[in-house]
Amino acid sequence: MKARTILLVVFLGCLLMTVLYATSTKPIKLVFWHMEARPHRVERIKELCEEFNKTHPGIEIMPQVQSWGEIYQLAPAAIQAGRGPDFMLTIPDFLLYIKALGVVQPVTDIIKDLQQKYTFFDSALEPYYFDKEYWAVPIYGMTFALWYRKDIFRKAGLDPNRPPRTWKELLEYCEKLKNSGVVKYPIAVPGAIHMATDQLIYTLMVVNKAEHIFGEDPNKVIFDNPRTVEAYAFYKKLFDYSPPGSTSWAWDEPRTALFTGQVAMVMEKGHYIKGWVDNANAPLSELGCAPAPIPEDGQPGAIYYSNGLMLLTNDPQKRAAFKEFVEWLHQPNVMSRLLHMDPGFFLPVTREVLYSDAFWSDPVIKEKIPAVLIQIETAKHGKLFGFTRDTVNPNAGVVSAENILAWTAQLITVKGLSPEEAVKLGAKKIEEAIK
Amino acid sequence: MKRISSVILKDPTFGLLLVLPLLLWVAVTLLYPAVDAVRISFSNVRYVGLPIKYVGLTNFKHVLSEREFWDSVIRTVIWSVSNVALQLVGSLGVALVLNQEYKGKEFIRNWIILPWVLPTIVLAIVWKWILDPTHGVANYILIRLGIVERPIEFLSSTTWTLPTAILLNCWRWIPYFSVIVLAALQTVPKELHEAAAIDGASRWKRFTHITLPFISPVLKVIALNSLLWSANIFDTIWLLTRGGPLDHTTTLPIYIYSKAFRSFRFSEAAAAILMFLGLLLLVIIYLRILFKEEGAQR
Repeated sequence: MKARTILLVVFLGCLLMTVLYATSTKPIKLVFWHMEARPHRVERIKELCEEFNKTHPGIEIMPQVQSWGEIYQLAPAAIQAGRGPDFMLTIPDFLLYIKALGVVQPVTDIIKDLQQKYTFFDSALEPYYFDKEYWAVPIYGMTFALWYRKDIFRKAGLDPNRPPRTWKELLEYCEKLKNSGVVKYPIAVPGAIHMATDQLIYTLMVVNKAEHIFGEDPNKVIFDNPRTVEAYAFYKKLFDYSPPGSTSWAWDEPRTALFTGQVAMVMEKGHYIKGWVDNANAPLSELGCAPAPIPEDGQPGAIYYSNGLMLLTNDPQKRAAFKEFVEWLHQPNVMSRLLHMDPGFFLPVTREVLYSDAFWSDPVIKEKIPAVLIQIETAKHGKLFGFTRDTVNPNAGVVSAENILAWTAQLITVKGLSPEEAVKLGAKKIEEAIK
Repeated sequence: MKRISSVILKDPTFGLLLVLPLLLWVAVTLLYPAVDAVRISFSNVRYVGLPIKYVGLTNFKHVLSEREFWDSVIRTVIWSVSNVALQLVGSLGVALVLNQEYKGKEFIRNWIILPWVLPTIVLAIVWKWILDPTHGVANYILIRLGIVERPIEFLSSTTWTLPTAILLNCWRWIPYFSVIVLAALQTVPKELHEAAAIDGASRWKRFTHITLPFISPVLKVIALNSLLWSANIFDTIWLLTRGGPLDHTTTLPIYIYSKAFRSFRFSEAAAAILMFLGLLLLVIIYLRILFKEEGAQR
C-alpha cells in the first residue's frame, strides 16, 4: 500500500513537471555558424552572443565555430541532412554557392529597416544584392595593403615614411633592399594554389585596370587580355624577389617571414596589425602600411569583400529573432567590439560605426590610425572577382573555389610559361570550369 | 541446459545472427555510399543538395578525355610502384639488420616503429619544417657541407616534390613492414643455415636459397598491402604538397578529391572513383593469379 502511494506521488510529480516544462516559454534557439576560428575571435564572438542572450531572454544565439577550409564541403552536407545552422557567416561567392541549394532567405526587409538607422557602404552591400533581393547582412569588410618593416627600410637606407607608391618604385625598393644586404629577400609573395595567391594577383589586376574577369555576358570570359598579362608579369617579377619555396606559400608563411625580419615587405590584409602585436620582435610603430602600389597608368584599389550574415531558416519566429540580433549587433558600440576582435583587420561597413568614437577607441587602432584609414580608403575602390558588373555573375564562385588565378600563376612560377601563355591557359580553365 | 546451448552455438543461423550487426554496419557505412557513388556517377551532381539529372555515361567520357586524369593515373603508377619497390627492399634490409645479435636490439626494435605510430599530420608538419628551403635544417646542412649552393625546394619544385613525397611515405611505412619481415625471418630454421654453411655456401647463397624462399609468402603479402595502401594514400600527399606544385604530386585520390571538393563536380569524381576501383581490382586479381602460379610452379 505504502509502495503504491509512493509510486503514485512520483508519477504525479513527473506529470506535473512535464506539464510545467511544456507550458513554460522556451527561448527561440538559433544556431550560428562562423568561420573566425582564431582563438581570440572565437572568444569575442562567444562573448557578444552571450551578452545578447542575457539582454534578450526570449532568444538564444548559439555560436558554433567552423573553418573556411572545410565549410564548402560541410555546409551543403549539413543543410541537406537537416543539421545546418539557422544563420551563418558568408562572403559573396560562398553565398552564391549556398544559394544554389535553395535555402538562403532574402533579407531585404531587414536591410531596409537597418538603412533607416545606418548608411551601408556600397562596396559592402552591393555584392549581396541580386535577383532583386538582398541575401545577407554585411557586418565587416577586409582589403589589401602593403605592409613593411620600417626598421629594415631604415637599415637599408630607405626612408621609412616614404613607402613605394608605384609598381616601378616597388621593384626599385626590392632591388635596393636586396643590394643593401640587410635582407636576402625583400618581399614575401604567396605562390601556392590557394586563396592567398588569388587575392594578391587579383589586387594586382585591380590596380592595373584588369578587374573584369567576365564580360557583360556572364558566360563570356575576358580574362585573357593585355592588362591581365601585365599584372601576371609584374607578379612574376615580385615572385623572383621572394624566398625560395614560395610556390607553396599561402597566408602564414609570408606573415612569419615579415614578423621575423626575413623579408621587408608583404602585400596582404589587415590582420598583420594584430599579428604583429602578438608575434613580432619589434614595436608596432615599426610596422608600416601603404596602399597597394599601382602602375603608372593604373588605378587605386585592391581586392575588397565584406563578410555578412545569411539566414537559412524560414521559420518566422527565428527570422524575427535573427532580425533582432543583427539590429543589436549593428549598434556602433556593439559592432566596434566585434571589429576589435582583430583591430585594424575588420573594417566597418556602415558610416555610423566608422565615425563612432567606439570604433577608434581601441588602443591598437589608436596607434595605427593611418593604416586603418589607408584600408578604409582602399575599400572605397575595392573590387571582388565576379562582382564587378552591375549584375552579380553566378559563375563568380568557380574562379575562387578552384583557385584559378593562383593556378595560372603557377604556370609561370613552376612551369616557366610566359605570362601570355599562362593567361591564355587560365582563361581556358575558367571557360572549362563554368561549363 | 548445457546440451541446448551447445546445439544453439553450433547452429549456423546463430552464427549469422552474431555477425548480422557487423554486416549491417558495413552495409550502411560502405555498401550504401558505394552504391550511391554509382548512382551519382550517372548523374550531373555538382555538390550535395542540388537536384539530380541523369546523364548516362557523360561523366565517364569527360573524365577519360581529361589530360589531368591520365596524368594522375601515370603518377599513381609511378607513386605505387616506387613505394612498393622501396618499401620491400627497405623493410627487408632493415629487418635483416634487426635480426642480428647485438646489444640493445630490443630497444631498437621498439624504437624503429615510431614513424609508423605517429599521426600523419605530425610527420607532415615536422618534415615540412625540416625540408623548408629557408628555415629547414636539411638545406642548412647541405649548404654548410658544400653539397649544394642554393637551397633545394624539396616540396615545391617540379623536380624534387614527387621523389621527396615517395621517400617520406617509405620512411613512414618501412618500419611497420620491417617488423613483419623480422617476424618471418625469425621462423627460418637456424639448422638449415648452419648445414649450408658447413657445406660451404656463401652468405649470399644462404640468403637467396634459404632465407628468401622461407619469407617470400610474407614478402608477397607485404607487396600486395603496400600496393593497395600506397595507391590509396591521400593524407600524406595532401598534407605535404596538396597535390602540387601544379599537379606534380596529384595521384588519383588527390585528383578525385580535387574534382569533388575544389571543382565541385561530384558526379565526375564518382565516375573517377569507380574507374580507379576497377583499375585497382584488376591489378589485385592479376597479382593474385601471378602469385598462385608462382606457388604452383614451386
